[in-house]
Amino acid sequence: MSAALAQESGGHLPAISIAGVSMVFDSPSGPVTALKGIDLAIPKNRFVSIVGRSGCGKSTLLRLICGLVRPTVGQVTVDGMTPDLYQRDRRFGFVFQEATLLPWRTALENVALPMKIQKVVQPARREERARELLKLVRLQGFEGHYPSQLSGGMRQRVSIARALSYDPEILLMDEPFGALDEFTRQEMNEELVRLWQEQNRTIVFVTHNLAEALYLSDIVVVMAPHPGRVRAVIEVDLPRPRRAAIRQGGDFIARLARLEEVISHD
Amino acid sequence: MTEATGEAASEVLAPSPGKGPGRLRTLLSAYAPAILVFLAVGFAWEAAVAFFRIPKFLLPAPSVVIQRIIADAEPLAQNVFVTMQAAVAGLILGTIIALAFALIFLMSRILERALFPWAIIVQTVPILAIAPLLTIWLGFGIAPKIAVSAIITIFPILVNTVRGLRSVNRQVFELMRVIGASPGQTFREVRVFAAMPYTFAGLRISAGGAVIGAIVAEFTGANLGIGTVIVNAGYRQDATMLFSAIFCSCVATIALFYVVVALERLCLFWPDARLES
Ligand SMILES: Nc1ncnc2c1ncn2[C@@H]1O[C@H](COP(=O)(O)OP(=O)(O)OP(=O)(O)O)[C@@H](O)[C@H]1O
Ligand SMILES: [Mg+2]
Repeated sequence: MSAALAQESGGHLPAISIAGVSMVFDSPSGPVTALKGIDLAIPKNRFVSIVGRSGCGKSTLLRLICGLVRPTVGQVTVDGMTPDLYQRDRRFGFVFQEATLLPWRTALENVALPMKIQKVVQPARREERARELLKLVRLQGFEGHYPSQLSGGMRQRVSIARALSYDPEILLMDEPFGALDEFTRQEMNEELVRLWQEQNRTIVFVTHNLAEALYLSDIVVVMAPHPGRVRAVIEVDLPRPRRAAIRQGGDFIARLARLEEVISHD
Repeated sequence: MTEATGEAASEVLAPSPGKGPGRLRTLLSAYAPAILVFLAVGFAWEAAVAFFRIPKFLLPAPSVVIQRIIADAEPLAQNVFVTMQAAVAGLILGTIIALAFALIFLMSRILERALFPWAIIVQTVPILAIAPLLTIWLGFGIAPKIAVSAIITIFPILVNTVRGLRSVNRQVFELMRVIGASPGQTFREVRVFAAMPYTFAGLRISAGGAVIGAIVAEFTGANLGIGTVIVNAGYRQDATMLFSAIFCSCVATIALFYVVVALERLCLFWPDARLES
């Protein structure tokens, strides 16, 4: 299936390629194999979801891609280089499961934090850009609010604006909407698709929600646990733009049922 | 997304501490019980002294103490000032030492294991025994007082600050790494702020200790200070003066405590900064 994916990317370098990767953690109760023999190519500018049971190594996979951890065996290549090298000048956007905002910084300052750290944008421009980004995630008027004064969904939107602030070509999202209610989650889905379509970006999106994965993605990667491995890579050829209503359509529901089957096939 | 906004609005627009008459009423209801009990105890004391005809050299009535404080206002104020100078200097010195060691402990677990027992020793050593030693070494001036104050101050600030510096969760560090922050930047942007609420919790405890430290140091030999006033009054069995000195040092200690609280308000500017106490 990874051959099909390589073809899909038109012979160009995939944005992310994972070759023969295994990840073993040392734990008090002996070594834990989080990932085993992962081969995966993620084409450029695609929206790719990763689904699978809890503990099958989805977060570990994301952390491998951006170089937060190094694989025990195998190789991760991002745009033809190691994650560390890529990280040095281009940087990944990363949205964590929890918003992970600094409580002592306002929404605006949190969004501007990466620009301040990386010193890439003129200080005067930073605030302006942070304002634009907050507007993009529909939070104008909340620039001066501290995280504790925002709702969970608003906080997550701030963290998305923060990840976009340095314009990463690759955006990694680890169950970003997991803590949200269904209603807010669907709104955020629309928002995310809009953001993705506005500019060329590769998004790798971890979720527990299969409908969300189908609705958002070009490709859904299904993982299996113990040890964590790739069970299937499924192309979602639903035409775009997709309207929210397609979730109720027969085609969508049939796909959802098939996806469920693939996951529960243990 | 306007709905999500609306949902948060109630949180956002939660009543801020009121202004004007509302605020005055809040203040009154906050402090009235304490003030009432304080006054009640004062009156009961006054009445008991009068009713049982307790002699002044045993237990002076509050009115007598107040008269004495007014009569001796100038020397009392001078001596309190001398003691508080030492206490504040000791508190500052102790805080600096505690913060320095907190940083050392943060950087090296090995040094922490090696040095932490010393922090405990310093904390557990009887201060009444240390004070005369320090007076022998440092003379009868302000130095031994500052030293004793500092010693008392260090431990609560050290322990709290170390805890605060380590209170940051892993995901925040991962975030800082992903956005390309150096360890120094992570320290400035994250650790400092995470530690501050804890440091202030320690400072609140230490503020009172610093004054006690200075007074204890004055017991064992000093030329000036509220501690010397207490010792001299003790020799002369002047209970009224003892009560006056106790009252004055209490007021000064409370004042110092509120200076720390004011500083805390200034530094902990974000809404959920203060630790639950
Ligand atoms: N730092 C670590 N040390 C030891 N074991 C780890 C570590 N990180 C992950 N693991 C183990 O690796 C496995 C995969 O973890 P991971 O967090 O990647 O799963 P996940 O698919 O993201 O799960 P969830 O859906 O619950 O978030 C788990 O068994 C976990 O216990
Ligand atoms: Mg996870």
